[in-house]
Amino acid sequence: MSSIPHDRAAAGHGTHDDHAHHPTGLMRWVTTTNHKDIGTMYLWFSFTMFMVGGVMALTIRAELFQPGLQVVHPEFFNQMTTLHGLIMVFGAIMPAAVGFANWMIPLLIGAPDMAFARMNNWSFWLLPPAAILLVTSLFVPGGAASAGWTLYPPLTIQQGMGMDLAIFAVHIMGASSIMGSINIITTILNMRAPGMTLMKMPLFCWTWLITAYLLIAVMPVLAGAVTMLLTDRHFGTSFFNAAGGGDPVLFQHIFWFFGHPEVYIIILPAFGIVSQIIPTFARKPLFGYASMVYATAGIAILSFIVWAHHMFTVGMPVAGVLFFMYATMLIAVPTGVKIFNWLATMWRGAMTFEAPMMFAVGFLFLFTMGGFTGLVLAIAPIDMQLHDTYYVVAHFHYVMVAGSLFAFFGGVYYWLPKWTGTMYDERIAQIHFWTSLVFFNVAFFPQHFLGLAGMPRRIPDYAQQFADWNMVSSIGAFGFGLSQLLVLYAVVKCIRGDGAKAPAKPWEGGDTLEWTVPSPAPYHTFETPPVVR
Amino acid sequence: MPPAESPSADDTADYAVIAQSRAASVPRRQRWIAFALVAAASLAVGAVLAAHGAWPVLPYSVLEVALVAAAFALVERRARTWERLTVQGDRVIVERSAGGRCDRREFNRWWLRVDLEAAGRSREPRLTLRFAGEAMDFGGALPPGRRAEVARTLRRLTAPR
Repeated sequence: MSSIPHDRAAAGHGTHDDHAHHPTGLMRWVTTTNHKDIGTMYLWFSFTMFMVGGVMALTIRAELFQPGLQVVHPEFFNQMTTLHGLIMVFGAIMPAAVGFANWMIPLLIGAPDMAFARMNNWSFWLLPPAAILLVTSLFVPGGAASAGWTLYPPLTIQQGMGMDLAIFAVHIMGASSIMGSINIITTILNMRAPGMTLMKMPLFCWTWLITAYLLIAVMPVLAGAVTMLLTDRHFGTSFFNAAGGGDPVLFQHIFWFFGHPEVYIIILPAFGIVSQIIPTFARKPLFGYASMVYATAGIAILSFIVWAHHMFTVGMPVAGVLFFMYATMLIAVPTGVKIFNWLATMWRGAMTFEAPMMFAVGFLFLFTMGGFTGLVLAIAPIDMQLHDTYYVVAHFHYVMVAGSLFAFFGGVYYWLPKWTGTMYDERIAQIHFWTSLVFFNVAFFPQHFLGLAGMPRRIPDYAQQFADWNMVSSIGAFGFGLSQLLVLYAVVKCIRGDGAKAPAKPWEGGDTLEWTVPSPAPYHTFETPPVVR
Repeated sequence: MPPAESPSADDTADYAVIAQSRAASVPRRQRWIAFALVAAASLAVGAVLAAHGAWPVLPYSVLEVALVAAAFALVERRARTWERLTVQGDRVIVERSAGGRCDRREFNRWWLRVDLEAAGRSREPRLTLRFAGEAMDFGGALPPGRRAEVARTLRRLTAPR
């Protein structure tokens, strides 16, 4: 008879912190296959690119501080707008979302790591070379790509070597995203803890599962689009070159068939983070969990049939315009379901307003505003007036910055105690929130007025009538940029252990699996699968 | 021979360890339905764009779907791969199931040597069973810390009385 107990497979301690068995030093980061290490690298990479893209944004706003040309040449200004867009979308926001996924999905579903740990390492290490290509393209003859982040031909076909580097960088980042998505799908589908059915998963996992599906559906489209640009540039094809019988509008269809789902790829993980934060600080379960899942899926499906609302002015048949207009408006329904569910979760909750909750509420308020201006732009006759004006710039910054970025900041403060084992400095975090909120609105709200008054986007100079609001907007942008140093300070403080020690569950209302492991989360977690009831 | 999936420990054994990757939270059918959804979406998009002249999208879709298929197949294989080590009486029994094939080896408990190669800079510790000039790795699916723990227990159980 057995006097020694049997033990199972993944048996051991649920939170095995086996420091003797993980490498240290620089090679730890180069060769790591640990989801926490890789998540950390994604988040630092993302923050670095956020700063690089931010400096480019401030260059743009410095030039636009006053009418006339003062700071940079118009050609360089165009390079800044292009690289700012590409870097923020592909280098900052998407990697941040993948960083959260890497850190949190295994912890939220009770898995020991991602399904393909080595591929996870490769998908991260593809990013720095891509970023280097993008940034160093500024120094090649002719400068960086300057056709806008949408890379529309024929301008793209006429540009210098910087465009080739940008195309190559986009290819690499796309490959990284596909590998990341495959990992996320296989992890969520196959590695959940016993008892954790799909409909018991934390919403963050659901939003990422759907995001990964979106990525897999649209990334080949982007890859194909930039390949066609490359062959048009160098190999004599004429996919988009009208002189050779091609059609530049075809590129716009293809690009936006990728680009609109891309918007949701950026925002859905943010929805997931907010859906974790609000119930925790309202101390209530998420209202309408199932409807949140279906709404997320609904948004993802609808994102495939609205792409042409970005190109109402190219001359589509009226039936097409009407279809895309109504389809776009339809997205307000599942999005509204989510907004109302978050509000209902807060309703009569025992709420407290620590920094994560402040960012979540800020997200809710500002993202809803961005959603409303999106509805305005969905109306074709209005869009034809506002197309390529600063109204559009204001709209998508409300969605991308006040939407995704605010949710990510909320996520950072929410999980920082788990990541570092130290409570963040609440005072710094609150100052970060309020300065971000105020300066963001100072920077971007006036851009609605500028757009409505007819100021075009992507111009280094403008008519005198736009001077006042541009000055206000630039002041706001500099304030917003400087405010972001506060999050860096707060994070570094936590990493240095300068603060109160974080308990395993620092938030009273947290009821997901990550709060069952100690803070900081041990290097190896859930080697024994937890049982979820 | 135990079934290919979900091995269980023998209650009469002195000690038993089962090493299996965590890759089985969906049944096989659901796993492949999930794959079909991904593949259908990606290939349909590629095909429609190819029909409109943007054919370079399609090879990327095919390549990507092939990658996803490989990943799903690998997960499938992992779900059916396990190792079980049982110490029972004078015997140490190691059973393995990989890719639907099972094999079983028996060793003399008192002649078995258990080696644990220490972890390197970027290498996990390796648990090797040695017997009569043969060597056999065990516990690849166990976390590194567990491997060391299993090695310690086995050394104790196989030490000459």
